[in-house]
Amino acid sequence: VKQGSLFLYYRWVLLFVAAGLCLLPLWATVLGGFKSTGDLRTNPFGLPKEWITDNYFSIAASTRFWGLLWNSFIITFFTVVFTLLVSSMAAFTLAQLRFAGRRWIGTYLSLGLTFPFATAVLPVFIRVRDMGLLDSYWGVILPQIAFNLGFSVVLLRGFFSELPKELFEAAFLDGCSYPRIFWQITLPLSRPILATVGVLALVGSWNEFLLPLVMINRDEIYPWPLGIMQYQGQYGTDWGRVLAFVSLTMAPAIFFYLLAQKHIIAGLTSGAVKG
Amino acid sequence: MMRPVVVLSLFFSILGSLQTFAIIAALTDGGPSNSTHSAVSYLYTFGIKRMRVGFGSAVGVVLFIICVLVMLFYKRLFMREKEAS
Repeated sequence: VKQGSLFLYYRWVLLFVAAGLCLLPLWATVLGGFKSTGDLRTNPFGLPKEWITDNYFSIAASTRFWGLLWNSFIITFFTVVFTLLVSSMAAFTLAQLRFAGRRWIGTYLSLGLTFPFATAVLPVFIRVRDMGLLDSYWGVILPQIAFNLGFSVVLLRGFFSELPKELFEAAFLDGCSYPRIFWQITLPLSRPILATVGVLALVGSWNEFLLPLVMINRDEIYPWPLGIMQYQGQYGTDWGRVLAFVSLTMAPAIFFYLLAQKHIIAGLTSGAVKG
Repeated sequence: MMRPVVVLSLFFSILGSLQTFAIIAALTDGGPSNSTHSAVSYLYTFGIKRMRVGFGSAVGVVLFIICVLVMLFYKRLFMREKEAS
């Protein structure tokens, strides 16, 4: 009994430390938004000496901030919608239909998991430039969809192939067409995995820095990660303002993540262990 | 029991940290004299900012080969797991 309780105690401490490591930067960021630059220098983690709310209010009042959020929103929205649409169709085909080259295509798509975007920046940049999509929303959206396909098809296919076969056989016997099986049977059953893939795509797209940095040079369509740079002046950075900005923009991504957290954990491991 | 999940998250964190970019771009920008570059920020600085496309592509290919090696290692661990079970 003694050993058991000791183990529980250790586990509690360990979890507390792990949670603290994750929360400390968040905590420092949100509080840092209330501090002046001098206060931040001397006392980065404690409570602010005096609470300066002006950082938050002046950012929320500026049209620039809402413009940045709007740009991020458009890019994220189209990325998530098209990722879900395209990858669920591909995964359905790979999981349900038997055709020549099926395994080959599946392996090819899952190879995308190991092909990081970072290594492909240059070819993608040149391709997007040749298509004339530089400085536009689509120049960011299309590559993001393409690089999301790898993980989302793998996750979705794992889930689709675990759905009960009897359902499909019954539907097929009743003369249900493949598109209808897809829209009316597969998709409603797959809500957890769709939530997982959707939120992963959402958070990834919302926080993406490198891709818009490469593709977008026009001020008006900057998403927010690029917008932060405008607070970094030539002679000094108003860190309190930067931190307030970051806290405000983090909120939507965290909100959606918490909303779908339950699904994400379940969905990730169900797809992963299957391989 | 937990080994597949642990191996998977290890794999993702290795691949993720190989691609560190935003932190380096924000903090040091590769400075003083290119001593703090990661592979990706190196690629970005030379390939895109200074438009040395060939050199940047070479950096990308090397990074890709490293990622493939990591993946092969993961595959081997995974296969051994499958054989054991």
